[in-house]
Amino acid sequence: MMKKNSEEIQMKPLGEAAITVQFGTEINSFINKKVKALATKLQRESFSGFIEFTPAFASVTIFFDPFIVKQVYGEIEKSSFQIVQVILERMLETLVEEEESTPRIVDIPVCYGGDFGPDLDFVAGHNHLSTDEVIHLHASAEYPVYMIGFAPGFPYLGGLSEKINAPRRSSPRTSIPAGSVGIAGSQTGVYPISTPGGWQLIGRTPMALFRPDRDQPSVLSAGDLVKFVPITKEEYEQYQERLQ
Amino acid sequence: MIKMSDFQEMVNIIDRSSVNVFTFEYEGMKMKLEKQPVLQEKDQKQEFDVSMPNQPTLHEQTNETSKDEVISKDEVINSPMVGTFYARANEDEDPFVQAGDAVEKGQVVCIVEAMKLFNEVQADVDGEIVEVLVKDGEVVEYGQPLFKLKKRS
Amino acid sequence: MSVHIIRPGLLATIQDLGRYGFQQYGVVVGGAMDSFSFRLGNVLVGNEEGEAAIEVTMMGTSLQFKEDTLISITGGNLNPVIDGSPVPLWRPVFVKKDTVLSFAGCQSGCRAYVAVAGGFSIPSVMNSKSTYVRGEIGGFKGRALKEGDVIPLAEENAFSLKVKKVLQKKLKNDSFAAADWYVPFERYLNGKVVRVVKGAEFEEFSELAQKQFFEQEFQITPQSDRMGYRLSGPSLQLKQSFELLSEAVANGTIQVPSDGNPIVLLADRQTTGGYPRIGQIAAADLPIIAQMKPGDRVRFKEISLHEAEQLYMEREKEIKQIRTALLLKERSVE
Repeated sequence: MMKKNSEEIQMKPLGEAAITVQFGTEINSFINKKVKALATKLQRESFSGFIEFTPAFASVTIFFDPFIVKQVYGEIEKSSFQIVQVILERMLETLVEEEESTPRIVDIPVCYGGDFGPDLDFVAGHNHLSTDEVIHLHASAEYPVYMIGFAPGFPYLGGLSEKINAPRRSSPRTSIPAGSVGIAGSQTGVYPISTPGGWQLIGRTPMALFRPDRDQPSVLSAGDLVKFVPITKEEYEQYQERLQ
Repeated sequence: MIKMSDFQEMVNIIDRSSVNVFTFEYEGMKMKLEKQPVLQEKDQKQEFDVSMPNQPTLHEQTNETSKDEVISKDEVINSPMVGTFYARANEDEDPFVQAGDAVEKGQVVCIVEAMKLFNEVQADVDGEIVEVLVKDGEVVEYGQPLFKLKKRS
Repeated sequence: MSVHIIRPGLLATIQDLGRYGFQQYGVVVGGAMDSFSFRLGNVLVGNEEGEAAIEVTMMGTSLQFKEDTLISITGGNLNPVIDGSPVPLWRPVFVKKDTVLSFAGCQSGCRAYVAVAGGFSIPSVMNSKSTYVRGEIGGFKGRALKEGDVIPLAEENAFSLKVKKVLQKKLKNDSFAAADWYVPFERYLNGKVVRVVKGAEFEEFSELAQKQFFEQEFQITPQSDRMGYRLSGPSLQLKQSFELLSEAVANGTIQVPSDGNPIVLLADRQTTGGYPRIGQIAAADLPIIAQMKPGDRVRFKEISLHEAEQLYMEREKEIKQIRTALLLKERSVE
């Protein structure tokens, strides 16, 4: 296992036009607070050449235009990466971690197993449990939303029971139906749109997590708490009918 | 050796003077500068930003037998702009035309590059290419002859 | 003014330079796969670099212009023809009312861009007109173009009108007239070698895999699309397996799932990924990979971050230079 000191902030390039600020290599609320603090700061004050940022569990990646950065902060001997690094270091010195407010709880109905969860048996077998035990464990926890990423509205959730961890598929599926609920390592999440992906699929929700016509296109946001509520196939179909 | 800068200086001096034709010999190299009093309408049309109107036309001659031959306007294809002359579209392709090739009016004979923009130069008469006057990749001046052409009658 | 889709072909979508600012909600950036060809296509007809244009994939696309229109075709040479005559690429082209432009198939490259003076008059979704087919967002009704679609055009600017007039005068009995100036960009698209900066997890790969990555050839498999290309070749193994926390990825990130077959993430890539990243393609070489199609072979050449940045700067300067040259050209032509 690659482990680094979680206290140490690292900056690394993601190509010539992006920089990743890594606060640690674990999923925990202490690190995630720093991620949120930097994201908030970047939303309030940016710099010339800044394009956007992508927050993740333990990191924030900042995308920029090297041409503009060099033009505006023009130091010949410094690369745009080095220039942005200095700007970010200054921002990090004055980070303010937000006060914690009461999180919003979002119930997500899930029909587990069968065609909706083709990997439920694998997850159960991998952990020497019955499929019912996997469902019970998965549906009895509250999951904090650490980040939205990978695909539109896709929530990365923390708090998965260690008893139902499962490795990613060795080769990702070329298409996963919208609403699929999956497990990868110690993470669980929901696929809001049909997309390729490598997670082990255990069920599906009829709820639309991504609504492109809204100002805030993602139903969930970082900081929410998610609860999965088991439903039957009939209830799944009724839910879908109600949507239409 | 005469450098390009010396050459440029010489052109500038003659340009400002009242001399119309100037011949120059040095170490076996012979050169003739001839002013073009009036530009044809066609040339003005294709004028580019870095054009130099009234600039003398240059013709370098190393061939003794043709030293006194004056190239008349309708027998040459001139460069419409300052830029880099390319005889072919791509490194791995054949030149557009070579000496001896028949050309038709409107046929692309070469490319002149200026500021990354490639400009196709076309033959304005039917005829035969007698001589290619510049090398592939050479920098050419506005109005500089690129090809000697025998007009088909 | 409008463009009618006679046949959509394999895949034709409206694209621009992508949807920025929403990756924090997981919204895919998308946009033109070969953004350099795309930008030049717009510049050639007098548009802003990011104006919406049509991305044509491989073959079969047929479009009809309902009015006299100034267009340009850039990117891969997919054998564009009008009335059986080939249409030259990389230059402004005047097309007469009711003219049909068809793409017969790949001569080189995989994607061509059809830019029209003024661009397309379609609504922006989250600040972009690019089509993200999987998410059913943007472009023309959130989907790939279909037979019978009518896409309205926006108004041309003074530059476009001038060039249009100049070329219209050149028109004889044909349906189109092409300019005699062009930008020689195809030389950037036809390479077989793609320059790459080592990725964040490069050192986690076995010494053999590190060597294989830069020394051996990889093939683009049929499971490749606008989201990414799956490659086949030597299976790239890690020193030891580890689970990585999902983190942002970028256009040109090369990630390796545990089966060892690398995946190059492209325009419609996910915003974050959890597979180890062995490399990052230099932005200047993204057009090369974007123009490759299934079956094509690619090699990766290592360069430093510094070199990648320099290539980026040079390419940007070149595009700016071309913009200037075209503005001057427009002033000088009559």
